[in-house]
Order: sequence, then structure tokens, then C-alpha cells
Amino acid sequence: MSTTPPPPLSPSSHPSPSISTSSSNEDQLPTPRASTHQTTITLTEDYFAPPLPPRPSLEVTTSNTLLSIQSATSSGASTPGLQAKPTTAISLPEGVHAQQQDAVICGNGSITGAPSFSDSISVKSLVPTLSAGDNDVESMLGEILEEEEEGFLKARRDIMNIGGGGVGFEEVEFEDEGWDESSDEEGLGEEELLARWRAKRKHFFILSSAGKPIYSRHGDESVLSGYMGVIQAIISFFQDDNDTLKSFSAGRHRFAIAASGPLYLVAISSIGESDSQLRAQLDALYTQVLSTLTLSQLNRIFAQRGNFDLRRLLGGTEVFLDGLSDAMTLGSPQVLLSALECVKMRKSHREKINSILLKHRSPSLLYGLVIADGRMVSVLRPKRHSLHPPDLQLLFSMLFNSTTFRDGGEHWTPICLPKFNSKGFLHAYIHFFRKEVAVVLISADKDAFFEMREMKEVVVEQLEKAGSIKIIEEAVSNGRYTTTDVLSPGTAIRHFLYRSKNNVQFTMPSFEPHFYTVIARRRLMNLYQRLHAAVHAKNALLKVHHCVRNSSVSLSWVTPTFELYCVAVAGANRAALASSASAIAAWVKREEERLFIGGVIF
Amino acid sequence: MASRDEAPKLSSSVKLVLLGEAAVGKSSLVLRFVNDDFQENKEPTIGAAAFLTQKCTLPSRTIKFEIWDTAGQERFASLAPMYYRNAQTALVVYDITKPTSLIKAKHWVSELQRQASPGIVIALVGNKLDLAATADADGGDVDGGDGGSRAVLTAEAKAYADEEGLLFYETSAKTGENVQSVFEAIANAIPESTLKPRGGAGGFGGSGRAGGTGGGGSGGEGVGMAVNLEDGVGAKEGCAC
Repeated sequence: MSTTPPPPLSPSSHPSPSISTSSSNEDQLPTPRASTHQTTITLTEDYFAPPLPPRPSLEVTTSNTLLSIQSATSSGASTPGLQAKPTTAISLPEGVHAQQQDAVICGNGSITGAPSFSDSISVKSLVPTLSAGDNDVESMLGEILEEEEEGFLKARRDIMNIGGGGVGFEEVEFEDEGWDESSDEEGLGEEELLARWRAKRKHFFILSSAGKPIYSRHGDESVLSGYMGVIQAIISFFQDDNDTLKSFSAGRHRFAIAASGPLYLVAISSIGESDSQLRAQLDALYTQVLSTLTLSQLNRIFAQRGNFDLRRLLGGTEVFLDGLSDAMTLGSPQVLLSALECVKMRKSHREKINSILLKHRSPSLLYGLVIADGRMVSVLRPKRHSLHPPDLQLLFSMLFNSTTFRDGGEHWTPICLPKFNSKGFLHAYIHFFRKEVAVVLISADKDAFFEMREMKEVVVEQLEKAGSIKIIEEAVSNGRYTTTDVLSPGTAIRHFLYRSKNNVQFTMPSFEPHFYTVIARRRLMNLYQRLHAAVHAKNALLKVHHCVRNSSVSLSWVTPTFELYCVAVAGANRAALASSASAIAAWVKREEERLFIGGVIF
Repeated sequence: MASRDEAPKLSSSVKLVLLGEAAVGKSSLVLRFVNDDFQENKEPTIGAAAFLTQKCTLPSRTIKFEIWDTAGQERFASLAPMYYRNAQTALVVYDITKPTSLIKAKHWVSELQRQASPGIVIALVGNKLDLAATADADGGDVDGGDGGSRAVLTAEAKAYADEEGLLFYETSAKTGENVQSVFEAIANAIPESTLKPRGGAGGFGGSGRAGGTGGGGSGGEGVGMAVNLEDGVGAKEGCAC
């Protein structure tokens, strides 16, 4: 079936013609870390779910029928995915598979070095027999184009109905419904609950180093406790040798582990992020925990009582952890790029807002922010303290990934911004004075509520008077710009992410109309994750990365000042893509003062 | 400065604090009182506290409640004094389907009696009355314990409230039953002496430092929030431990 000869155990000689540059992204996962203080182990067992059936994806209709047949007939065996990669999967364990993928990285490096690297590849990857070899990437990423979504989903739902639970159900869930975070789990039997739990494509766990469960995105205690014990045993096995387990694979699931102080954080993903991306996500969760407790308190608690049940103290903050987890599962550009986004507005409009904030700054104010729709409008900070993106992300996640603060009330809450000071609390005054627009005033003084409140009153009044609130609300309701605002109408570019390194901010066009559904968006973000991993691999020398799939063509471009990732329709030609990328970069440069903010410093 | 035009004639500000175990419905009570609204599955109050204001008009006076809706979670317990200090009135809330929440409420009552202002008006409120209605119809399954029916008898709580000299109501934030009555009863119960509108503050107008100057001249347990603030400075720095 595949024309790719399997390269048994010989990484450097992997021919890999069918795997275009695209598949290299995925290869970040099993990159050997022997050189560092990390351990990569690979398990051959598949703990959670059998691999998916292959999804030849040139013809949507065929793939639907194929899929339904296979799903319906595969009765729990873990082999339906084997046809597409016969040689690798049947004759070799997963470990070899990992090595094979490593080979792709090497191949990729040389490919990119070559002057004309992609045209031939793009042609090849459109040949069905060859692309079938690209099964892993394909089945995980699936199609980007939204026309195909409906068919897929429908087919899957049909299967689900026929299968009535069991494996067919699990695979369906696993593939697409995994994004559906609905919690209608009541009334399901234990088996079914467990199946659902396992079918989730992504899990986050937090446990204490004594193995006590602290947090899990999915599942309850009864499901979890056993697994927590296993995780703790695995981690401590390596710790006994003074070794730190960072990540491992089981089937198509990647496990990333972060031991942060007295906590273990674990991410399990079958979505295909790189280790470093997963670790960044764990770091975001850890930051969220710290923001509730502070590092010193966390350490003190566990120094006193190693088996303390931290859930007592974290009570209520699950909404934040859930919100953050879900945002990261759906793909958060903020976490991926570790950058923040601003509301695009005219420079003079923003300066007016800035000057109002500055003029009415109250003495014990540390940071002042105006935030709309999860994006920054204005930031006020003292000269001696910068605002760290992880801290801001934390704040944004708390404000916009849960409804807690958005009830119109004025909130006063202790919050630890770990990158600012992980040992103590700051106090945040949070008020959504419009539905999507909030003022956040942060002070080191826990009694400054009324001072902050007064400042807010004045600032809001002045903003109103200056017409700024209307401008902010309009900017929010108009949504982000579209690709056709940036490029000529009819451009092949569907979406892009532009990260300004100096500003630690990013900008992107609206997801609509091309990525309207959650799943389409998820797939787009998945693609970005792969692109990002490819250009950020430790040994990557890539400056430009052209990636051709049968569903999309994408280009990553890294310069000392910015990173640009753009995604175009399938079959878009490389030269056009390159010129579009330059056009985007030029446009951002031109609009820089509207897209990014420098922050007001006092 | 803030251009808040309050009608200071008959109005006075009253600082009210809500205390009680997590998930008894403190925020829902406030939401019903302030916005006449109810949300199913409301997320817990996360910050130490949310601040809301609402006017309550009585025949004789207008009271502007400045409401501190505190979080019920354990880790915020040490912050509570900051919110009940100088409060003229406190709503201690429990969940009539959950006996442990009444025990917690009793703890709050005794803490308030020990440490809050001497003249504080305390109301004991049993919330989620709507859940009791169905159970009563089923034949008064008192200790059902399946989280959906009454588990605290009205008489029991009432007896305790009488003993401690508390106002007592059973409410439903969901249906709105008795919610308005609680606040009106509180407004009526606040002694006239603590209601003098002072220093042109008109309640909240000169909050922060400005209020502090005004509050300094007031006797007894000051209405001025600024007094509270200044007292608060001395509170422990440990914060949400």
C-alpha cells in the first residue's frame, strides 16, 4: 500500500519521500533527549485507545465510507490503523517508529537547506498512495477545510448510533467529539464513564508528590485514584535514580510530566503537541495554582504535611483550571506563542486611554489594565516592574475563561503573579464595567479596595467622556480584521499568526469565515502547534518552513524580530504564499502602532 | 473626583457582609436582591469578595447597602475580619438541605459576636427554600440527605436564632421568596443612631482617603468605609492562608 520502504533502525537513511516537510512537526515528540538531563522512555503498550483507522483524505466521500466500515468492524482490536503503515506498525514496535520519525527531522533539515525544497514534495504529497503513508499526521490533523467537517461529523455520529458505545463509540469520541466538553455525564454507567474518560484526547492532572490527586480536567475520584497511583509510581521510580522523567509515549498518547516543587503536573495528549509545548501548558496550569496559593505557602504546606489534601485550599478555583485546560485543549495562541493580543485601534485613540489612566493613577496602584474581549487595550505599569506575559495570561485566563468575574460586580481578590513575585499576594480590583470590557487595577496593599474603586470610577467616567468606551466596544463588536483586509480579496491565505518578538505580542485575523466551527479552529491551532514545533525544535535551523498537506499549505517564517505562521488553501502555490507572507509582514509593520501596544510607564 | 450624585437627604449607607459556607447561595441571594436575577450553576465566588451596592427604600428612610459578598472557601476565612470589621449588619447564610452548613453558620455567628462591632445586626438565613418545597410535598422527608430536600428543620434554626437574638428567614434565591424581606427587615432593624448621614459623604461619595477624613469624626462604629480601611491596615499580612 505504501511505497515508502520502512527504514528499520537506521535513522539517517530514511528516505521519507511521502512525508512532506509537514510531518516533521510531529517529530518533535519523540526527539531523544539523551544529551540533557531528561529521560525519554517509550512504552509499546497502548494504554488508552487503539490507533485510529487510516483516513485517506483526498476524497471526502471515500474516507467517510471507509471510516464507517472500519469503525464498525473493528471490535476492540488495536490494529485498524495498521494498513496504512504496514511495515512500521506490524513488524516494529513503537520505539522504532519513534526513531524513524527522528530520521525525518534530519531529512527535513537538509531539505530546508536546499534551495528549491518544496515544489516536488508538494506534488508528491498529493499522490494518494504516498500520502497514505502519512497516516499519523493525517488522521490526527484531519482536514482543515470546513466543507468537509459536516460530512465527517455526520458519518461519525452515525457510527456512534450503530455502535452504541463500545469501541466504535470510543473512536468516534476520540476523533472529533473529544472537543465537546459537555458534561452530560450523569446517568451513564461506570463503564461508559470510563470509556468517555479514556476517549478524551487530552488530560491534565495535578497530583502531590505523595500521589494525592489535586486536580484533573476529566473524571472523578473513582476513575482517577488508580491512575494517580500509577503516575506517581512511574515518576518516583525514576526519581529514585536521581533521574527526572520528562515525557514518554504510550501508543499515540504523549505524556509530559513536570515536577514543580511539591506538585507533579501531567499532560496526556493525543493531539500532537511537542514536549515543550505540553510543558508550557503545564507551566500555565502551575502558574494558575500558584496564583491561588503562592509558592511559599505551597512549599510550607507540603513541608509540614506531605500528604495534605490540597483540594481543600484550591476549592473553587477549578473553574479557572478548567477554563485554562479547555482553552489549551482547543488551542490557545496565547499559550502557544507565549504572547498576548491587543485590540486593534488607532494610535490616537489608544493614547487617549493611556493618558486618562496615567493622569488618574492612584498612589498605591501597581499595574492598571483595560482589557476587552480577552485582549489588551491599555496597560499601565511602573518603570521598575515589567509585566510578564505568563502573569498577564493568567489574569486573562481568569477573567475570560470563566464567568466568575463577569457578573457586573466589583471584585477584590488576592492574587499571586508568580513571575512578579511568587512569594506574596497582590490584590486585584476587577470590574467588568461593560459586558466585555474590564478594568483591572492591581495593588500591593490589601486595603486599597476603595482607593482602586475610586480610581476606576474616575477613569471610567473620563473614558466615557472622551468617547473611548464607545471606541473600545465598537472595536470588540467588529471583531478582528479579516485576511482580506490585509491581503487582496481572493487571497489563498486563510489565517495567520504573527508574533512580534519585541512586544511579546501577537496578532491574528478573525477565525471566520474559514474556521467557524470549534473543530475547524481546533485543527487550525493544531496545525499551528506543529508549525511552531518545527521551527522551535532544539536543533532546528529553520528560518522558513514550507509545509504541504493535502488539506492546506502553510508557511512559517522566523526572523529576529517576528514569527509568522500562515495557512493557505490546499494547492496554493509556493511563490504566491511567499509573497502573501511578505505582504502580511509589511502590513503588520505599517499597522504596528495599532496592533501592538508599548504600555504606559510611570 | 467622582461625580456621584447621591441624594443625601434621608439616605444612609449600611455596610453589609455575607458569610457562610461555600455553595450555600450567598452570591445568588445578592444577585437576586441587586439584579432580581438567578443563575443556575453559578460559579463560586473566587476572589476574596465581590462588592455590590443596592438601595433599599423604606417608608421612613432609604438605605444604601454596600454589600461584601465574601467567598465561602476555606482559604479566605482569614480574610473575613477585613470584611466584617465595622459592618453594621451581617447575613449569615446556610443551606437548608445541608446540616453542616448550619454548623458553619453558627461558627460565623459566634465569631461575629466576639469580634465584629458590638451593635452588629445579624440575620440568619436558610437558603434554597425552593428545594424544601418539593420534599415537603413528598411527606417531609427531613433527613433525606440526598442533597435535594430539607435537612434542617425550620424550628431548629429558628430556636437557635431566637436564642442568639438573630433575625431569621428562610429564603429562596431561585424563586426570590423572602429575599426582599430579609433586606428590608435588616434595614428596619438597624438602629437609628448608626444611620446618621455624615460629613457630606452621603454614603459612599467620598470613599477612600476622602471618606477617611469624614469618618474620623464619627462616633461609634463608623459607617465610613474609610474607617474600616484604616483599621484594616493593621490586619495580618499573611493574607489568604
